[in-house]
Amino acid sequence: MDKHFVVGQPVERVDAYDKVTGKATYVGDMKFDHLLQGKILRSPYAHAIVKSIDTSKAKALPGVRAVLTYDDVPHIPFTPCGHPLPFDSPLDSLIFEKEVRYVGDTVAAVAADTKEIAEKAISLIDVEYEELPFLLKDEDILAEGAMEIHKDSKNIIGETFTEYGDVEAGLRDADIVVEDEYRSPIVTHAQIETHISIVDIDNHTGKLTFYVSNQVPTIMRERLAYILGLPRRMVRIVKMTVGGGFGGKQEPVYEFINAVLAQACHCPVMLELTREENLSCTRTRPSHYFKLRTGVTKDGKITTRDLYTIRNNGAYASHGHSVVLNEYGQFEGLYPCPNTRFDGKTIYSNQLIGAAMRAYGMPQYCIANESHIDHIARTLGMDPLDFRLKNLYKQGDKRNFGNYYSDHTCGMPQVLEEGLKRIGYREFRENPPADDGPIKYGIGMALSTYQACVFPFSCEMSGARLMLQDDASATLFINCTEIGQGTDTVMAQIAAETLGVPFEWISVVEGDTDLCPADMGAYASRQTYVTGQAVKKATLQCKEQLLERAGVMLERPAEELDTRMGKVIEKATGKELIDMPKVAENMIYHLTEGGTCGYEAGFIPVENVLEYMGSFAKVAVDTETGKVEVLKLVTCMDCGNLINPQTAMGQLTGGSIMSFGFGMMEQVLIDPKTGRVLNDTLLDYKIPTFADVPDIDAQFIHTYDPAGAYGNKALGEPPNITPAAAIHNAVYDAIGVNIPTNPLTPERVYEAIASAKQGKEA
Amino acid sequence: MQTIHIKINGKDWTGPVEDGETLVDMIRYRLGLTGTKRGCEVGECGACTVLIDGVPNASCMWLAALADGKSITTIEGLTNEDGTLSPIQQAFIDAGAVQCGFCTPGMILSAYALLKRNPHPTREEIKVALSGNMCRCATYEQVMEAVERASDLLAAAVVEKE
Amino acid sequence: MMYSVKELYRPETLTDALAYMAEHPDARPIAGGTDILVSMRKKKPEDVLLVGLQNLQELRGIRRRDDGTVEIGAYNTFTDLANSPIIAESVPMLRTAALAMGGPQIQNAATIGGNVCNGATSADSAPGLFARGAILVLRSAAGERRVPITEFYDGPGRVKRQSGEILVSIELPAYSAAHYGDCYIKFSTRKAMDLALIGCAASCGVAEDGTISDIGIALGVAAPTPIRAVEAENFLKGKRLTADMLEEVGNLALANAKPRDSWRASKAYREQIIRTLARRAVRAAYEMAGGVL
Repeated sequence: MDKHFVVGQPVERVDAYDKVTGKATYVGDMKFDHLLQGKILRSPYAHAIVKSIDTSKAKALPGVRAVLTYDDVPHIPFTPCGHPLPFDSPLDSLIFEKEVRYVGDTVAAVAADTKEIAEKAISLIDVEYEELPFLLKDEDILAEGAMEIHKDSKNIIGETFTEYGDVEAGLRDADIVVEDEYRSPIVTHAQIETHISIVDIDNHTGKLTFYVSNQVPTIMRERLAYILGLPRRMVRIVKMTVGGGFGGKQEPVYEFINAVLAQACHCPVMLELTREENLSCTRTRPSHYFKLRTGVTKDGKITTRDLYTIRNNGAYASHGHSVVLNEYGQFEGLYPCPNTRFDGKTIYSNQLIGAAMRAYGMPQYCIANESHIDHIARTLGMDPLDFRLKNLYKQGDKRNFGNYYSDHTCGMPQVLEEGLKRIGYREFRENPPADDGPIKYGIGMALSTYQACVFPFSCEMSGARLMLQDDASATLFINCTEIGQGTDTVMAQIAAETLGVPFEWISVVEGDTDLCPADMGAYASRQTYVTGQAVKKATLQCKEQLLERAGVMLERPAEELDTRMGKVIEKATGKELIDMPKVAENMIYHLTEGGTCGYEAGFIPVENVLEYMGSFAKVAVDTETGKVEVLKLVTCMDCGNLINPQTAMGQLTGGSIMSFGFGMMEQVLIDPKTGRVLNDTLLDYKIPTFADVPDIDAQFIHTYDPAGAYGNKALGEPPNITPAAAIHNAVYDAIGVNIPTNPLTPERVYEAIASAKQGKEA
Repeated sequence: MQTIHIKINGKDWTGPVEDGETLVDMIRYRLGLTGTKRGCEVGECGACTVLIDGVPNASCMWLAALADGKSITTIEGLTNEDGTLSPIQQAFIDAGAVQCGFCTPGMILSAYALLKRNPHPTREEIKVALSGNMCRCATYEQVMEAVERASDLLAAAVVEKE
Repeated sequence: MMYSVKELYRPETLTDALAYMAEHPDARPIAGGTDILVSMRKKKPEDVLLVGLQNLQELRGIRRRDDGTVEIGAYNTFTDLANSPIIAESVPMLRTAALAMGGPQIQNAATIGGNVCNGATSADSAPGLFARGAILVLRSAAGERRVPITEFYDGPGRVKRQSGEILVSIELPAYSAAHYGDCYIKFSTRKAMDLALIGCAASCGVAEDGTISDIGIALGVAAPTPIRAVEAENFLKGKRLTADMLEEVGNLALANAKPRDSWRASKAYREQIIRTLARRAVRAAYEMAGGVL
């Protein structure tokens, strides 16, 4: 590992100044001369046929510029799923539906001079619906002869079944088999900036420019052109500052609707969702059901693991089954054993659409699996820590699932050591605190792995272009997407480190498909891992050209030279020879040898690596009310070398708190009688406030992984996996009941305590 | 339509507003001060926080006309004319308290108002004072640190003046 | 957001306001706006007439009269309540309630008068005002009306404010006992920006010998309107509180409650919380008044 000058420094974020002064431009802050406002007419029914639509009253309203329905727009079946080509999800969606499949499905849209007029016009559209039965529950959806939500689908979006060894024999031969069921709720991203876009149209060429709040510009260009039936050259995506993504803006959500409105009106149209729309008809982490069976020997060795899971994805497939595949990839991340079976199904239902959400299946799998692990330990009479230590993956062990992961680094031993020390695990066990009246105390942990990108399953291409300026500063062009996690800053650090210049010499142009090279975008925690390498690759080429010129100027072979913080140096001694700006100036202004220096590179990884993480929690449970107080939450993370420790810490603590919300308070509730979302406000969809945040202790475990550009692995999603599960196990420890779902609302915890008490008395 | 007089970021402003116009829309569209964000329109997220006579308020929950005669501070009002930052803004940068940034203007204004009335808040007081500003990136730990840093910066500035 | 407001009238005096309201029976008073705008956004009424109460000095201030009555002007924000030394001394549970309501931004705008007139059973101010037997002073062009708060609520989101009336102030009659204590407990999922799942207030006058001379116990969200837990109060009057009695206090508090099943919480769970909060609030109020269990 070489010494780094810019990598590893907590440099100031490139977007920080604009964000603290209010200058950062989000889509809603853009100014246009004549900007129309769009509004969507949504289905009030969970399942219905649109029999007829009368738009005449809406069209007659002054200020209304367009009213569009199914008949006015292209009917090209598509999947919005923000994955690279080729399509890996069923093409089951349309711009407007004739058969609406959830409350909130799109029926028609209006563009008007103001939002209020658009809203009024929506209320003036008369739609005749024929209501149909609707399905919400797994068992009804999968029942023999069940109504098909999409024709010929049997309500199945995807299935995965793989078995290694002999699971049935393994379960038969095990000393003990422990079985658990777990169901996670629907939760949603609740970005503080709701979904918003402006689509502008060039009335000469018809080219559409989408100003978006989105995580995947490159994919948006391809997908929106497809949906609208346009050549891709007719679509430009300009990504503005994004007020939160978390996976919920990883696909076209409604941008195609203001596109058709802009085409109809020949002027720009904004579509800004309300908070209620954001919470009830965008995207979710849908409900997952897990059934886990594990066979163990008497002395606590796992011999067999069996997982059956159902993802209830809602009305359209979107990311659907690929989320289950991510659980599949991590299934044996921590507890490999000879006999393993994974059986996963993803199904349709008449509710809002499941898609990507931070850590893609792992937050729910982690609670299910880690509480199951605790259950096994308790069944064996072992401490959950000892049971884990007996079965944990060690570097060099064989995995059946996930056998494609490289094994350069594994920080799990240090994660455990540090985490146990910081939470005081052994002290707590040796000296458990006495009950304080109705208050009981508990301690718990949860561990996980996560990937660094989606190699080898899906295209993992990232591009970067570095343009060297005449003063050896450089402009970096990327479509790697800054959505708050700090990638612009991190990529600039990688460019600066590689070029050998101070951080301030790099400026970043990001998120414009007409200017920047293709990149698959912000998901899978992939950007530092994949785009980081593309940036390094392009920058190395610039550096090489610069050193060649320096060699000519200094009359020395370029191989003897290197760069460091703006100087050309002698590689062997580090002696400073000439200022890089002088060389760069010479490269451009030379009378006979002048030229430009800019390189573009695409990068595709040839391997995937794993991060290792663990959370450790201490809780107090009020047994009279079921209220849980998280007294301390420790999370330790091995994500390789940190490019920027400050932005990294923002991800680690922020992800931890988001996970705390998942475990303790968040759930989208659906009225079983109507299919309607009951809690579509931030009052009722409860994300953690400042006052709720527990005492957080977040630590990085240092490793240096050769697969990353500068020893890094990946970070965006992993912090969002283990905290909720650790809290879950701490509550389990406190009350002795493994609650088979989350969030652990006071009511749920109280009921668990009460029924356990009743069980004992009976 | 009625005419109102307000002080916006220290400057007098007189102009017409609709009777049903919210303060947040007036600030964003009439005054063009788009640093004030809009996240829910019902006072549940804090993104539209501005200071009215120095006190944090949800500007989506105010009709603009009811702000007649008031002094309003938005995020733009904290930055000095030469573009240099107020101590609380600088502290947000230094502490890494900025991620997606959408809650940041409101969060900074709440923090600014807190430090004005309580220059040395405890962690618990910070949590309570900022509990109306939701941050989905959950940058709360760093914001906490930013407020503490700003508190120190301000205290140092006072000592220097004396 | 542009609400459909035909006129936002901003009177300078109460007389002026009442005259306007007499002329425009449909006009709705707007104080902090934090409830009315939320409701307008949802229901989208058109051409609304609003009367802004901001400038009415008659609605401001918090006073303690010589006889110990605490008089709270209707236009006091929750922050005003939280900062008032009179409230802190005489009715500290209202300070607790003020700080438990919404978040700081809402506390800075929302008024106690608005909280009462909105008629929500979850209103954080209600249990304390009910426990203390608050009297509401309403004015119209025709004159003044004094209504006990316990008779003011008319159902979920409905109160008996008559057309043309403005709530001017809220009076809390004094307790005569030697020692006073009170307590408000809000039970909610989040620690801020949340509604009470159940709210419970207890106020307690305790004589030198430890017997309870005055007692008020009130519950929010335990019924369609806030309620007094009369049976529990009757049980406690004239007694010294013991730990054994608390169980009964919890059970009796339930006698007056009619909690319902909703997606926010089940009836059975609300009952458990009512029992628990009643016990805890009574105990805390009693102990604050110097009572020893």
